[in-house]
Amino acid sequence: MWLLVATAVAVVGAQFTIRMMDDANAPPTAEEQALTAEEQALTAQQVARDIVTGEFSLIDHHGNAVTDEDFRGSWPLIFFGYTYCPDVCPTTLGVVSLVMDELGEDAAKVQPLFITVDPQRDTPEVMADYVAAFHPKIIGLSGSLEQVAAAAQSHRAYYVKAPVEEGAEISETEYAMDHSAYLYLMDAQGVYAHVFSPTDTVEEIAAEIREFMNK
Amino acid sequence: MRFILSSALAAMALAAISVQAPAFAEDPVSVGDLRIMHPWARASAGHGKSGAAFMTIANTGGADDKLVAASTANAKKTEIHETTMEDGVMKMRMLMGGLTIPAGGEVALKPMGLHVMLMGVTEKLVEGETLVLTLTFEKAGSVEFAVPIGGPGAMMAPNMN
Ligand SMILES: [Cu+2]
Repeated sequence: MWLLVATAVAVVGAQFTIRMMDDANAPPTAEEQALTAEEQALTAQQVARDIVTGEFSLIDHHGNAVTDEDFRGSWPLIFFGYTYCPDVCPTTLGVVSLVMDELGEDAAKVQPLFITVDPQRDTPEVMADYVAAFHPKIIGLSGSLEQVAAAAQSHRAYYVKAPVEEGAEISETEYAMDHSAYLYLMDAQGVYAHVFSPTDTVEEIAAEIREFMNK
Repeated sequence: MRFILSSALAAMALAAISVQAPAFAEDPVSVGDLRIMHPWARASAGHGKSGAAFMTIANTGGADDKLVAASTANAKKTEIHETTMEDGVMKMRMLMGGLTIPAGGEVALKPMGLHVMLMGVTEKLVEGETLVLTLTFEKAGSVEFAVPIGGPGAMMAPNMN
């Protein structure tokens, strides 16, 4: 099992913290300190592009094997979560649905993807019922434990099974998943474009997606 | 505009339980010095085994009180949970030791913060229907009330849209 620990790169503005496997707590170099906030943001954007490769090989909610390459030509809007999540995941999928409405005609170019971090409970059938409750265009993605771990790693997304009661044992059926709660925007070539926080407003997210698509 | 049912069983219990079904969701539910305002829950998406209820609890009294338990016939387990975000990672944990409602203050249970967590929901929560929830406070005792159910990704009480 891979553990992503060190907080290494912070993208200024989006408050996006990318967790990397090494280089823990490295102090900023003199070079980094000399950069302006704007330059740092650009550098961070470049770093994010290099390390958030966005590759995945998963099973969609119709039971078909899909990879990130199947979504070239559209702008994937990706969120990691799980269907037993009562708060952050419904909140974010609700936001995604409203963003799609807000985008109007431009929504045709955006493909929301909900990737489970809990494939043990979230089979493709479970995902199908779940995403349908939010927006008809959202595609739910599941897969084997290994496939999900690889997808999360290529997005530098973190997750871990946790007991709901701090310090308690994790039961087979009743557990929470701690997980990264970012909303990733990838471009039509599958390159990382931006990351949103679930606390960003629908209007902000829709406006930024439009801006990226019109660049 | 509400009716209060007194139960024979409640008389035998240490704390009196009143069942309140406000005619309008804007009417706060009262128990002792506490007022429970704008309760709401999210409709089940898919299997709907987990659910969450939200509300604002105000304390008009001069002493702190504490929400110590929650229950509903519609879930195997009901707990008070807190969602926290740290470095972009979302965690949800049971609030140990209950939730303090400060004297003269109020506490909002809302998405991305605090919620009443329903685990093992037995009957799916349907938008437009209501859920009957019981909250138990250390001092004010127990109160049962109807919780309107909004959409699966709702961010506020359905009547407040
Ligand atoms: Cu919870």
